[in-house]
Amino acid sequence: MGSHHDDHVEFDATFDEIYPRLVRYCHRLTGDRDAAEDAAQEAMVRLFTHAVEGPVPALRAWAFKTATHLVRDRYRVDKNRRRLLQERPVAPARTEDPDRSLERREDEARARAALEALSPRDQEMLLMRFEGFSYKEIAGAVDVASTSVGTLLARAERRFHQALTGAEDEA
Amino acid sequence: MTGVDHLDEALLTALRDGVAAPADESRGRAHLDACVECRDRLAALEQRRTTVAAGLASLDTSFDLESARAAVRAGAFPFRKRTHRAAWARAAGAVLFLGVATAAAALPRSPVRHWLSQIVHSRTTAVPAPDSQAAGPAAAAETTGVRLDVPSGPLHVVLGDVTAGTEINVRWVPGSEAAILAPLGSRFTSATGRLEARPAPGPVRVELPRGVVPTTLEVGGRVYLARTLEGLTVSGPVVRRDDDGVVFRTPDR
Repeated sequence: MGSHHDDHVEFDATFDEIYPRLVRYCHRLTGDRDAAEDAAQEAMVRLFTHAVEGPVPALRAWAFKTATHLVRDRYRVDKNRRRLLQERPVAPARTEDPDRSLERREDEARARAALEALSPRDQEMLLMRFEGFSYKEIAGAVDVASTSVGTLLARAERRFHQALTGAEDEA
Repeated sequence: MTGVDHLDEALLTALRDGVAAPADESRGRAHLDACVECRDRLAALEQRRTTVAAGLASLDTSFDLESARAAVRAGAFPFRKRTHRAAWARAAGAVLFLGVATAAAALPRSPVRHWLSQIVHSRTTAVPAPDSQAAGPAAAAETTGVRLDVPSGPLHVVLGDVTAGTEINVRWVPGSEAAILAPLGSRFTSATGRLEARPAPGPVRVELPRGVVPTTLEVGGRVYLARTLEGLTVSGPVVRRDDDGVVFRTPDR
């Protein structure tokens, strides 16, 4: 019984450390709540069923890599569904005023368009970097040489920023 | 600008994020000490990071973490369902325990009664705070709340359906934990980087980690406070303000 209790505590701790950021990453990547939850939950289930061991950062990197591949293989949302989701967002009802709601949706649409201006690989790299992953972890997840990550990331960030703001970055 | 003389964008980005290799770090810092142009470019990259982070955050939504937890647990441990026999045994044990505990609690001066009262008390009393005097009546009232670990920004705190004249005591706190504490009967939700509450009438306390940026506090659809790398902007109805926070009072309707 004690071991089940310990397992329960360990499960909760690991879940809390990894899942919230993982589902946020998947949602940013897909723009689809259902697809994001499916991919993130499947990656977490695999983490536990494969009995992956190691410190939390290593588990987190494993889960993100798995989710990245799941999104690539199964959950990449096509543009028609994306447009549908933007027209009829599946989100909890908000009690905010209409102006604010409109502004929020415009910001979201602008950011989504800016992200889609990047290649899928650049999207993955940029999003993983903004989740705090190291260049080495990103290289492992998206299958690029770790020596290329810095250059690719800088370019991806510049392009996203340009598309988001319309600014011509000099850097 | 020539690529030969100045630091390239990738190295500047790595320096900005603190992830440059040691040799590149030394070389880059030495160059920055001497080059105004590259320092300006680094500053522009800092600003770019803030804008990009805010843009990505605008894509976020809230998720039901407890349902996800249950789904992952069920998917990961499908063979741990309790047998009927074990479930009955647990139920019988629970009934027996409750019966004994109830009988013991009914006795005057019972330690069980004392123990139960302590549990109930601890769940409904405001969390003591170093500045509980400054919080005034809020600290004394029975409160409930929600806490969220926010290792990095952005953090959005949203209070909806707030009664007119409500005092909102915002405190900067060390560490990475944000919180909303409000009177019993308040409703709370949380998601990554986001805390929301519909407080019951009475004082509200909001704890914001001092080091987390960008942070915003929105009350009734209006931004009361925004903190970014550039500084703090306070636009709500301030009652008083000090180094440790700001106290607002929502306007009478």
